[in-house]
Amino acid sequence: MQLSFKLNGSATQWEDVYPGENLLEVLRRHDCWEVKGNNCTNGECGACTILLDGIPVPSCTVFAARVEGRNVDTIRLLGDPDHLHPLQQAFLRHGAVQCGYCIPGMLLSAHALLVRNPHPNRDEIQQSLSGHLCRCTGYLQQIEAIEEMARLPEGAE
Amino acid sequence: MQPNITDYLQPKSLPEAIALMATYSGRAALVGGGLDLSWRPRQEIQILIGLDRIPLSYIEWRPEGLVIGAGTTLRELADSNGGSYLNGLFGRILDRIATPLLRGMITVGGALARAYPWSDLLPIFLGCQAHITLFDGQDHTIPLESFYQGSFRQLLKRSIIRELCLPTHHQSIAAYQRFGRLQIDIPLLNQFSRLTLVEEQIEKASLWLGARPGFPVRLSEVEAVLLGKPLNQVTIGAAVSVLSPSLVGADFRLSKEYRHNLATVFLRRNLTEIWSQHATII
Repeated sequence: MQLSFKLNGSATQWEDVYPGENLLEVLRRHDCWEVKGNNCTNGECGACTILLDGIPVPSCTVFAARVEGRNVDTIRLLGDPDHLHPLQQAFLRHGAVQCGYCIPGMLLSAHALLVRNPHPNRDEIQQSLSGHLCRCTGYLQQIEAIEEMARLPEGAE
Repeated sequence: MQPNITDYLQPKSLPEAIALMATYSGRAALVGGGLDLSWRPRQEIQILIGLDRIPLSYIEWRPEGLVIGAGTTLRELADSNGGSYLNGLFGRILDRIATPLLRGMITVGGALARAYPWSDLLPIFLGCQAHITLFDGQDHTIPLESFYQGSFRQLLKRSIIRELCLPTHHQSIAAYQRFGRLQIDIPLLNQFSRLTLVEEQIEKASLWLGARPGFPVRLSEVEAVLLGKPLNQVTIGAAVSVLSPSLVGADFRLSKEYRHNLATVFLRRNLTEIWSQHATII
């Protein structure tokens, strides 16, 4: 079946989508390697998070056909290695990135939170990251990085 | 990838969706958020009927109460003014269900249709005497309790949940307790209590016990003890004492004795919280 949607703001049309495929499988088959591979496969780890119309969801549990006509954003929405987003830079400054597997998902959830609420408190930050499993850092560094962004005046990002 | 699925249809209206269900009877499944089918693929399902293009995602305050479209996700509900239902208790409960990522996928209609015994929502919906509206060519609104007392899974083979209405209960105070291994885990037991107090007497009581581990059950014997009495330590003690151990069972997570003990603690806590909130109000 054919799938037409916006991927990171660009109109995208893929012809070879199977009705029973999930979005994660389709994205990776089309070279979106930035979306981390099938990890828990049931939405519990948060590694494959994407934004669906601005809402973070685990792409392994979304039927690909559901995104027809909608907006899908991956970590490429924020930046690339040569042009890091301020949130990505904050993660680096705070040592929030070690193996990096969970980071794209965490960044997207953090970004969605900051868009909705530019000055979240620590509780809100922790709540937004629950559902993202990280086995390296212990979460503190990511929380501090997001807190740094939350302290910026609105629009400074 | 679920190779047994051969087509994904996207109707634009409920009549169109009902017609598709009839055409592909027995081998089609409705997809709201799709989480359940993604977790538990069913071999007999070949056709998916997506509900995304049908306007079922809405939250409205109407004279009869809070009306929630079946396609509304828990995240949308928590982020809306619907969270203020039950003096904000509803919003606080929604914030404790699963994770934010999964709350963006779980729809109210999906939670009602699957009716998992461990649901956080069912004891609250039942305890608030919710009404459900089903569409089978025309709308039928029935009390949620009656819906579940009948063969609701058969009913859902030929009808679609359109919306849920949570009635406004003036002078009503509610409390909720849950226990799970982790905050984001399914509850191993939950208890919802709602009392209406008029002139210091308990006029109405609606108490439900869920994840016991079976489908939520109404605590009718406890309600009978409470009705017409003033809410105080003596009444709470009498209510807790009639909570029957036969209402709970064992599974690999908790023993029957542990669950019953927990149920009495939850009931006592909820009634005490309502008592303390009532004391603050007056």
